[in-house]
Amino acid sequence: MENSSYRETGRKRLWLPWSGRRGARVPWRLVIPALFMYGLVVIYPAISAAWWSFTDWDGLSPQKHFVGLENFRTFIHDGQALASLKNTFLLAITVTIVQNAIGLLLALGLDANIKSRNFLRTILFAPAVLPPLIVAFLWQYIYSSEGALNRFMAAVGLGGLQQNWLGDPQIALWVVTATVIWQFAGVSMVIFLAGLQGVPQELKDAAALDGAGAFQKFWNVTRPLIAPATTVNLILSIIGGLKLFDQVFAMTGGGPGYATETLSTVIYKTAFVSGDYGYSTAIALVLTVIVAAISLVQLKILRSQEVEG
Amino acid sequence: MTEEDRRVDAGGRSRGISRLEFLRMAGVGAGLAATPGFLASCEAIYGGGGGSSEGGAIELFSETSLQAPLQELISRYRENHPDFKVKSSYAETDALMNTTRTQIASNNAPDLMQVWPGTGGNAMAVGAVGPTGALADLSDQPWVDRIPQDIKSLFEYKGKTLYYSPGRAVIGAIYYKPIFEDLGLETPKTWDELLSASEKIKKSGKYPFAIGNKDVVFTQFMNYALVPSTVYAENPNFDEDMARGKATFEHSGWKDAFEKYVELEKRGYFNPDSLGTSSQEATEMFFSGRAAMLVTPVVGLGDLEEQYDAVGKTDVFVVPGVNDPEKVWASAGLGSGLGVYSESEKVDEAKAFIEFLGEQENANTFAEMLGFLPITPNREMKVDPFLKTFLPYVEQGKSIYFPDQKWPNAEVQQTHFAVIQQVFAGEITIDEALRQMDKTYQQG
Repeated sequence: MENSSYRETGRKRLWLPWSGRRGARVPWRLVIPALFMYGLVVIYPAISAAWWSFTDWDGLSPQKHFVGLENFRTFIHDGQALASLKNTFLLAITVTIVQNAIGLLLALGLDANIKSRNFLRTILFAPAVLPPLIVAFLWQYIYSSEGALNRFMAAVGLGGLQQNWLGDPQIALWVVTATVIWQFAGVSMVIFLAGLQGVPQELKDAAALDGAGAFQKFWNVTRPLIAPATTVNLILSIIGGLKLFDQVFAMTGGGPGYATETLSTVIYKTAFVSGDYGYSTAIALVLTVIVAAISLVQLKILRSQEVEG
Repeated sequence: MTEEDRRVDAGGRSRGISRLEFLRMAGVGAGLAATPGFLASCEAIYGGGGGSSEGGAIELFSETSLQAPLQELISRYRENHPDFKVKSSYAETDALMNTTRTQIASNNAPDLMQVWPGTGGNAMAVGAVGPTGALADLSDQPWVDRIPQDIKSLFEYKGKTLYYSPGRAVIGAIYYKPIFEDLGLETPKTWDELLSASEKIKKSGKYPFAIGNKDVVFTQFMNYALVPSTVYAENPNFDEDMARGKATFEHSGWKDAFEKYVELEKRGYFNPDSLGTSSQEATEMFFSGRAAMLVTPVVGLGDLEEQYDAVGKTDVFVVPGVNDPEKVWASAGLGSGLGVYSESEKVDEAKAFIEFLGEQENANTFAEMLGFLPITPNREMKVDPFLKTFLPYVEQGKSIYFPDQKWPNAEVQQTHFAVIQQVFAGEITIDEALRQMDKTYQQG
């Protein structure tokens, strides 16, 4: 059956509604403005930053002196930067695992035919549409020593478990992590839901007829078929976790001390507070390489596990 | 058919891009292109309508806090210079610094820009911007001769005066008068008196000090209030000795200040969980009468009293860091001000306006409206009542600028913030904290 709005001709064609024709080829010139803007605001700054990482530029002087790998050598011996690297990995790995586990459980629950599922989906996704800074400021009040969380714990008889949530270096990183998970678990849920809706009911029915229980049906039928959704979720969450900035900066500023410092907050402070743009862009380049390498390896492994539905 | 050349709706049908979507995308693009316009939080033109550049207006970019006095002084200047036009933009500190630095780097800085004193406070300090040659020399202006010798170097880079400051900001202990009166307490004049007063306040069920050390900027105020007495009263040339390598933080009165800061916490004189308390929460704690003292810059205290419905309930004293009242010094740092962009086409007009700001009457207005002490105490000045306590200290030379204003780089201050939090978190000792500061200082 011919599609009402698109005619397959074997060549890349797009129906432009205002052209009055179907199957007209898109002039490639149309992409030039977009490419120009992309080059201007993404490619050029990225290449410039990569170049600055090999200089001693202070962000002010017209002169930039080439210093070779000096900034990268500094990074290797910079205790604060290395501690932030460890925090970044801890945060990214935890967010990736917990956020997706919660997202999957929520998706499985809301994939069932329950009455309020659309309402619940909306509620659970709602935090994701809030700006991260707003979420961070909101939770900052909840976590404060006289905030809602500690008051609630006291009210329900759990006063002994009250904590100095953002002021204790032993737990501050995990508190920030929990906030990130709270905000974005809904995103993982939506992506998993999209995957779950592509799982044919007949396969699950067939598995049930063969005597499979709920877990076996999930593990042997659903899980392989939602592998593409899993891939998307894991990639997005690991990248988001590795470059996390807003929530950390707004909730703790990297403190107490350096307890919640991430590579992104170090990059910001090194450039805009200390005025050491060369070193800052070197750390940014390291972060870029880490994100790219982890994402590529992750993508390769996950893609190999995907199956056709 | 690929994903690139079609879009698929929820029903699995392919569809093209609609005219409306195209227009929306164009709108987003236009919005992105206009983004730099958002950098300044507000913008105004004085002395003429229309755009600034075409009207030959001077561009001025500063913190929002300077807006009111600058508006007043620009209006006053225009009374005798009706052709003087200013396009002024104001922003919060971080946005201001980042934007101005970028503008300097791209040779497009505003004619008048906000600059901070000394070398170490931040990335827009005279010592940071001076080496680029972006600031015009103001050394020959009349007001320069009135700058007291003890703070003159904070205006300079390589002997040239590069910015104008409206005055000195002070850090002191704001105290809640009803608590002091109920307990029959006098304002303490020595360290032991401060401890004694704090003990009585603690026993009354109030917090002696409201501390919001979750915000790094807040962490420094207690040390900055103590070191004038523990360091500079003993050795006013401490910074010169540091620069020559003859002194260190670790083996100086800084250790005494740090120990006193920690002692206050160990005696239970801070609100609980001070590391998890924000400066905003601490301020609210103080103005609601739950804490008796708040060590902070004393700026706009009258406005804060009104904001928190506590008019007449607060006053200020100099934090006595030692037991000899004669050796109690006050913390009075130089405020940020304006510099002239050396590459500006209107450098002469901009310098003329700075010269106008430097006239004593205008300098007094600027300081008064900001809640600063004038650079040079004089008979005509109207001093904020809350600052009167500090005036004798400044006049007798028993005050010192904020320590970071002479540190060699902005990184020392960042280290200072972090190590205070680490010390209170029990992660490092005071000696380790000071060694870290020394190490960062010595990196130059």
